[in-house]
Amino acid sequence: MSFREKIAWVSLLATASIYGWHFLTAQPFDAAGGAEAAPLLRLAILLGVVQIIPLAGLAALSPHDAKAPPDERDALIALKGSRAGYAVLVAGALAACVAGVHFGVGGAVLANGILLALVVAELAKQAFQILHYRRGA
Amino acid sequence: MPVIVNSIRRLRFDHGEMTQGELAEKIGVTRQTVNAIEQNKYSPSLEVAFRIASVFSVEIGEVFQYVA
Repeated sequence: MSFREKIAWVSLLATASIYGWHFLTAQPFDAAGGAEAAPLLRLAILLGVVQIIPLAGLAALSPHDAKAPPDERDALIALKGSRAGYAVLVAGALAACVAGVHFGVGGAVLANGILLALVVAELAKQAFQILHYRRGA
Repeated sequence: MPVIVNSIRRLRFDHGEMTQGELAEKIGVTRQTVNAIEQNKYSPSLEVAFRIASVFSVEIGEVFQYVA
């Protein structure tokens, strides 16, 4: 498994676990709580820490691979992953627009809906990258 | 379905049983990319294809063949 694929796995698992925990246990769709910036910042910092620790360990185990820049296949796979993630993000953004304009959804609910779209888009990006790494390209 | 096949595996063994890692190092890609090229799962750029041919000191047509 290449170092770039390991990065994709770490990002996928970290994003799924941190934001999965957020959406499943933190009752994010409770409009009464209001849209607060602090929890989002905490989540972003937590995500960074959860990713840095295993990646630092992996880099220590194979420093040569970690230092190597991405090659053309890595770049192609990253592009394919981003394309999949973008499609998901567009769908999420359109759903948020429809919810806001036609159903009067706003405030914390809309903010969490947009956050969910961002998270699912990121998960789709990482998942497609892993899929292409597994398939060869 | 037309595919591009290659003779990299044979060329590696003909050149002192060169490993995938050694070839990867010489052409500036990862070992996994060399493995994907060898298994016809990934078609490299023209530049990388020429670099591979250069490592083995052969024409590019001896490394890659188009099978219609």
